[in-house]
Amino acid sequence: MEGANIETNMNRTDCHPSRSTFTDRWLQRALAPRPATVREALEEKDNAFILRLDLPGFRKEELKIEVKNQVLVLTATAAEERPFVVSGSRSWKLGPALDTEAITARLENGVLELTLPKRATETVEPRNIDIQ
Amino acid sequence: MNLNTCAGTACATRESRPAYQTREDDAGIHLEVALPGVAKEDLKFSVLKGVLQLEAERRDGGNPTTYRLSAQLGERLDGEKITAKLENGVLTALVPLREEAQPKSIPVV
Repeated sequence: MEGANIETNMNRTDCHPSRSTFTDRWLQRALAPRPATVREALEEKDNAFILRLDLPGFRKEELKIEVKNQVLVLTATAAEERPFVVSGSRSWKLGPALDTEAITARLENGVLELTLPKRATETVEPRNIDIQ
Repeated sequence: MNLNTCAGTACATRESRPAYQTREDDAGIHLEVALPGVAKEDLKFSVLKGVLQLEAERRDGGNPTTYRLSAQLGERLDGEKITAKLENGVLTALVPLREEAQPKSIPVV
């Protein structure tokens, strides 16, 4: 399905070219996927994409999810220092075929599950225009 | 016959060593293990012959994963009195020091 792509901003420092090298390095280290724990899985279903992120230790109120200009931004702010909990943010560029108004999120057992529904097919199909 | 045994690389279940942290204080050793996606009923946490064993099944979508961790408990630790809780995908446990190994303040008279 064209336009239904989700582009993950994997190199999270790329989107902030103005940051100092120190901050970049700190961010890279803080957000670097730790083997065996941080897992990001994207699954495509018929009518939606399911994005699952490992966020062990985070509480619901410490996560903020926003969609602006077709970009999904997750900001995680740790209320206090705890094991495995690292503040940071990451973003995903959403394709136009996703219904950004209908995104839902659920946090369970330290896994954030985002459901990104695809727009109904009829809106994507070409519309025939009658010639009068 | 054990149907759960899968041969070689055809195995669909991934095995993984979870991230963990330990810290010690006067009470004993505090252990924290990251177990994202693991429900309480899928976690086995036990002590057998002085070895602390953790086995957790993760089945929250995607490939199922088994987290495994084991640790030999020192003589001064009391494996009988371990307390643990699983919250937000993190297991927090306290392995207490045996009473005789706990620091005691000696009153000065």
